[in-house]
Amino acid sequence: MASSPSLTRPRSALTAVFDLCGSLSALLLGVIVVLVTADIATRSFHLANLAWVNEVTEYLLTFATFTGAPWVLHHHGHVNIDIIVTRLSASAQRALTLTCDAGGLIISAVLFYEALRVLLGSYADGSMVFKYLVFPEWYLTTPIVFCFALCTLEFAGRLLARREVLS
Amino acid sequence: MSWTLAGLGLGSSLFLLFAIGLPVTFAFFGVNLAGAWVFLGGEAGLEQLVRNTGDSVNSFALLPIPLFVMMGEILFHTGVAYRSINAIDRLLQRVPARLAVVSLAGGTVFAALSGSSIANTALLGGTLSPDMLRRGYSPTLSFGPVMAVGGIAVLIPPSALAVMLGSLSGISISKLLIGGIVPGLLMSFAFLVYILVTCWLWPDVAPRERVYSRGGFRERYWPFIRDVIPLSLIFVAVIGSMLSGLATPTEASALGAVASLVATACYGALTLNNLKTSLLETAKVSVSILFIIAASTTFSQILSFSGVTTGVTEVIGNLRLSPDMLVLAMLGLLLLLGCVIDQVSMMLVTLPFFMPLAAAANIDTIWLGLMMLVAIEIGLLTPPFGILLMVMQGAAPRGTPLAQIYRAAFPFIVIEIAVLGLMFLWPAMVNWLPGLLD
Repeated sequence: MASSPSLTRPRSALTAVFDLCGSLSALLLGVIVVLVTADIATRSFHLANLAWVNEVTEYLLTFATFTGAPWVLHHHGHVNIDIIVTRLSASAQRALTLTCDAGGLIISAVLFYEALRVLLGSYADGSMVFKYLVFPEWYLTTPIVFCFALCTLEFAGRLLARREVLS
Repeated sequence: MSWTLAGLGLGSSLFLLFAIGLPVTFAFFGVNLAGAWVFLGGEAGLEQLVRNTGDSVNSFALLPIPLFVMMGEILFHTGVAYRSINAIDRLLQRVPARLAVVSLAGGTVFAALSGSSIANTALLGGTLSPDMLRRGYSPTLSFGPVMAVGGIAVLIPPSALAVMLGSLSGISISKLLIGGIVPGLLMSFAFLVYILVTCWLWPDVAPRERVYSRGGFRERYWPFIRDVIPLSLIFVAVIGSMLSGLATPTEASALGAVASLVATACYGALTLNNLKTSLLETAKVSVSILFIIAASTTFSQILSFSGVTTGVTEVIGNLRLSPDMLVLAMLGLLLLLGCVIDQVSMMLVTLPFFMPLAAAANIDTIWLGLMMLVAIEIGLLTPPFGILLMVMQGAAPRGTPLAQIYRAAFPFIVIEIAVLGLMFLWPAMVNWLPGLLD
């Protein structure tokens, strides 16, 4: 089914962004392996004390999760329970898919708004994270804002694509 | 609002969103938004929801989930896993139902090298099941052992689900990982006995292959020595480093991933391309698990704040069930849930209730945790939602009816329930290996 040219370009640009997110998420997981192994090696051979590694890998895991989640959503990789849906008629399935996309859009948009509010509040307050590393707290909220912004776009894109098919 | 009304509202909304097919993560987020507004204090509750979402995955203890998955993906995408299955295939000759036994042995080996049940079943289901059907094996023997042994990856370390259970419940992750070895191997042995007995009673289910040549050392044993034995070093890197105290479970998982990389590089199988594919597939599987964890943390908090956790705990406490009855009720509920929802959601929905109940009844949490893992593993095979049933259907020859796959899984589900029963009746069998870590 062909999409209208007005939607094709933004959609493929968005797909490129999602795929970039997926690659970044995969890369971050690779970096985690390198860091943790370097920590064990340097500790075992008394070469250095990389005390910051645990904390940094935690942040990397957070970033990998929130950058990867929209990519997984784009590729329909999130777990869903379809035992009821698959037993319904085609028209009922279409209606439920539409409902799910609309629900996903609302949920993602609200979470995006709330995460942005937390980020801006944290920025305005100058809140800091004091652990081994000291840095502004809003750094940690940024991937969440980014994640839900992209999820909102993905669900909106699905709804637009469906509307286009129906019209 | 009374806790019963809150519980009904939260539970029914969650299951309604599951039922209409909304991704599990977004179903949790949707219920969380409403629950946080009502029970966590309006706008402040929503802020808390955002903070929880970030904090829940910001945990060193969760790192083994992607890293255990990565081990399996590396071995899978570099083809090293296929080589080891081929080597086992050559080694095992003159065995009744040879290919079914090969799938069992290969699956058990791969379970010790990978934290992913899906990868395990996809690997064996795509190679051995069609071959078995072609050679006249019954569908039960062609599909059943592959699915059943796939589930063993949940028990035999490295296991991503064991790590998740440990980190969500507060049960020692090392003990859960080590404790999974005995039930995992016991299950594998029970499957083997079933296959051999079935073949003995009904020889038609697996036609005996004509062995033209016994094969020399180079043909028969060398591939096993070359392609399987060195891989045991990966298992040793993970379990050995944990048992020796050199590494925490998280660090052991990183060593396992590095050991998989080194092993595949030594075989000359590691390329930039398959490394990239392995990392991407790892990200895909792990992110979907971690994102559900991110969504569900606030759900547990809402259950607690609304009084549902305390209310349910008190009601069950007032029933004055003995600890054994309580454990049986928990396992029964998990087995039922396993028919309709996925493994991660099962844990997230039940743990907020199970752990306080277990603590109040003084139940050994390692024993309980390991039995929960077996119940969760059984959920991989129980229709209609058993994920491995779907994976098997995807890997099976085109047109294989799902009902045939259900029937193939049935005897193995019975065996797994029997092993669960043995674990329940004989806790010492389950606890002795984790006890070595004390």
